[in-house]
Amino acid sequence: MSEPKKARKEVLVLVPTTTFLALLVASLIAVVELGPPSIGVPVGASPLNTGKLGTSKLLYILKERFGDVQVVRDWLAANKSVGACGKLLIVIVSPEKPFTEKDLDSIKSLSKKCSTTLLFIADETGHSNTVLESLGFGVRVDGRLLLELSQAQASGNTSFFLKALFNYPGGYSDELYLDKASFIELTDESSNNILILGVTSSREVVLVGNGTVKIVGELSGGSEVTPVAVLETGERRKALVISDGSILTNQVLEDETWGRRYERLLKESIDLLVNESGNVLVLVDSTKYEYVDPARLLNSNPQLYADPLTLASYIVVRLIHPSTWFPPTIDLINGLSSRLFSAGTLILVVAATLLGLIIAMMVLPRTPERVRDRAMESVISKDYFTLADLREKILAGRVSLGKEDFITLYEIVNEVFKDVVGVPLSDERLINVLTSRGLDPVKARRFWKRMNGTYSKARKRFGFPPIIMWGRLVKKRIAECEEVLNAVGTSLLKDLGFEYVLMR
Amino acid sequence: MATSSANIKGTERLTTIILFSSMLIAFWVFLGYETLAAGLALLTLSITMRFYAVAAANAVQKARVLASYEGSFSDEPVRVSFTIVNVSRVPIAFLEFLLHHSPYLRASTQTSGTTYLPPRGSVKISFVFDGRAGKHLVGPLKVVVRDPLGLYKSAELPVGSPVEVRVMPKPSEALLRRALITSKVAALSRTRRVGVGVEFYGVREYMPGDELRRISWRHYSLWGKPFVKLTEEESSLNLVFLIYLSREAFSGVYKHTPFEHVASVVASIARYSARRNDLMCLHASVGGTHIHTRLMRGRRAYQEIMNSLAEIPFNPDIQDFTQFKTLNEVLSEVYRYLPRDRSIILLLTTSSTLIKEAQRLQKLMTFLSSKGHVTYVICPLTQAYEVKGLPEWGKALYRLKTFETVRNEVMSIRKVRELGIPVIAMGPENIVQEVVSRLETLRS
Repeated sequence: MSEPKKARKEVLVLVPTTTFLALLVASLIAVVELGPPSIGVPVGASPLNTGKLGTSKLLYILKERFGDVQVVRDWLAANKSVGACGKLLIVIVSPEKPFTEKDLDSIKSLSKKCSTTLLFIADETGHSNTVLESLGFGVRVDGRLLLELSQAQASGNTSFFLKALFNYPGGYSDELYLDKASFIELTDESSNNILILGVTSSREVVLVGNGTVKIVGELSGGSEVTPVAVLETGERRKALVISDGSILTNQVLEDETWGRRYERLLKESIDLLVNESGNVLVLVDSTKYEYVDPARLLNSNPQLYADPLTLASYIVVRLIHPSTWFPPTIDLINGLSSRLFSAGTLILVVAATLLGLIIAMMVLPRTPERVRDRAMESVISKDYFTLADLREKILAGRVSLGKEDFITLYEIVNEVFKDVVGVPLSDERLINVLTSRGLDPVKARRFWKRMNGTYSKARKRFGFPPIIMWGRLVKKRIAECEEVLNAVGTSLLKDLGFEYVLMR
Repeated sequence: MATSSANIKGTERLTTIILFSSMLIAFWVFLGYETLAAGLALLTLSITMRFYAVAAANAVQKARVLASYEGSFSDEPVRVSFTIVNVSRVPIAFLEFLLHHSPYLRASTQTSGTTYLPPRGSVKISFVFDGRAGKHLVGPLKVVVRDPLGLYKSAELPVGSPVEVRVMPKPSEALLRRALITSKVAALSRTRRVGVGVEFYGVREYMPGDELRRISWRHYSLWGKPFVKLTEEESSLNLVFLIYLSREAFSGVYKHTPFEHVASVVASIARYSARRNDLMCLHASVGGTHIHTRLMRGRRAYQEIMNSLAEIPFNPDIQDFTQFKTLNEVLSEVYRYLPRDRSIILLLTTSSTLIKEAQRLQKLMTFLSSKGHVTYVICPLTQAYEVKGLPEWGKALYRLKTFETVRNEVMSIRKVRELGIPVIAMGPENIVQEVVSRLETLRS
């Protein structure tokens, strides 16, 4: 009875440390070559800008109001991702770049996919005019600012605003102050399709601060009433244009004193466009704004462009990137080594190294005894076998077969036949018995002759012709025997083997 | 018990950091005070880490460990859980744990890992094992504590005590059903005698003294005179399972060892007999332990037997596997507990024991037979179990190489049979049906 081998955990070193370090350095160089990650902080009235000049608050309000709100980073991709829809609301706030032909084609295509197209534009630059034109609206934003600083009669303060009166069909009415309002051009003012929602009524220039409003001057020249908010209605389309995007920025909507009034204006405008709630897909444009490296922002006023958390995460990502620290580290090592190994200091370096080693030799004996830090070795499950070595050899394919094994095979088959059919293998009557059990007569005779022939050769010391490759022969005979044993209801290869016949 | 700092050892990282800090201190001579400050800071850091490692190791030593397990049957996974409660205020950031367990119990999940133990908090670590019949030792949990920089590590600290996981064999439902059907179809379980029971046997004319509630009113209306119903006497067996196994009973692939097969056979027969309300008990003598249950009937007897089977330690590594009692001694002890009525003793033992004790066994069985008891020996053929799990060609080669052993084993069993001892040789493919049929024959 053999003992089971003690299970031992083997640690295979698949990648040597030197190879690993070489690969690490190579990959670091490759990453440095690729350059820093192309992340940038969106500046301007982008819905992704969480700073004071951004419109993330507007996005938040829209998400609260509607279920499906998407920020568009690429109009082409947005067109591909959107299928057929009911109402489509496109929101554009103070775009800083003009829309390209591809953008406009995508917007038109989107408009065709949806039953109703709603456009909400708050823009003083005039970049949104191409969108209005492509969707067939007549209203335009002039792009020139109503309130130029030079026109203001006061001096010494730059926070000037223009008073505007908003009056909506639903009963909403308010007096608000515009920062960078432009003119709105109307092609046909008397048309039934156009409804003026807001105007600069008095041309008064005011100074707004801490809830107080002070008239500081009046604009010179120009007409008395200038529209600043207009609703144009067409077939299956509507556009609400406010000629000032700055009133929807975070610094306005989050202002403690004025924020709620501007938020109300936004909500009333959206309600006027959408009418009733339903399946509305809202697309907020974020394609026409600059993305700036966060490191650059640190030099200017970062609060305008991002909240501290976002800015910090951008900076951390940038700092941990190898392109930031790897080249300076190499420079530092290079400089240090050139200083150390210059002719004059070499002796000093050697001396310092020796001194360092002496210090280390003094400190090390005072530290605890050292061990290699390895994980604890876990218990390896095993099975117990009385003939474990034989099993192992069989599983490893290291079992050799010889003459004795054939004799054993013969004896096994002989025992089985004696037990099952009552005829030994040496008896020729076995052929008839096997035939009666469904075996082919020719095959039965051949089997009987081969088994007995080989057995007599195995028994004799010298047989002619001699059998050289006993292993191959035994394997061949095992296959033949299996077929015959199956005919008498037992097996050599299956779980229910011949031993069950013997133990009966 | 607090850990002394001697139990905390430095790692190779500590050597590196000391060398590096020594160099920084030495280079101060010509590089400036910055390197001196950096070197001293590193040394201070390594000292701080040592304090932390000692404190964390002490916290682990004081920690309370609660162990529990779920899963009672061999076909279920066994989930062993250890809850480590940190009673100190020291957070243990890198607690490496390793579960020691019997190598004969296979873990389905990792038995080692790293966890965080919050101060005054606890962490529950669960391990899942593939259940197999018998009693298995799981634990203790060993832990190693490190500082956050890995400069120091503690020695392997055992926490908590080992758990003894007891797993009962699962009786084969399919085989049980087949056995019940076979016995019913063959009418093996009928006594064909009039007596106390519930099965209808026939009717006879009413006689003074008969209970009125047994009058068959249907027959009375048919024949115009009273008849009483007769019932068939219920049969009951006194069944004694005697498991006497040597070390080779634990050989074989997972869940297919002779011991597990024997346990499953006993569980299946016990369940079958519990349904028949037979009187049963179990005596098991395995690996130096002797367990026995009282003679009981029905569900209680079955439960007792199952619990006892789960008490048998599954451990072929026991150095001295010689039984503290010989088979004859155990049989003599069993005889003392036998009822006066005829009892059927099912002796489940390995062929090596059987061959060794055949002569004495024969004498004892003759004696038992003279007292009206019947003994059957069920003998698992070890080699037949070891074939399992091999590929087809592997099976053929294994059978060729072990034929002599198998033949000797079979011949010995035949010789024992010739002595008049009824032996049923068994392999992993055999089922309990044959045993049940023999029992039912005795019942009638």
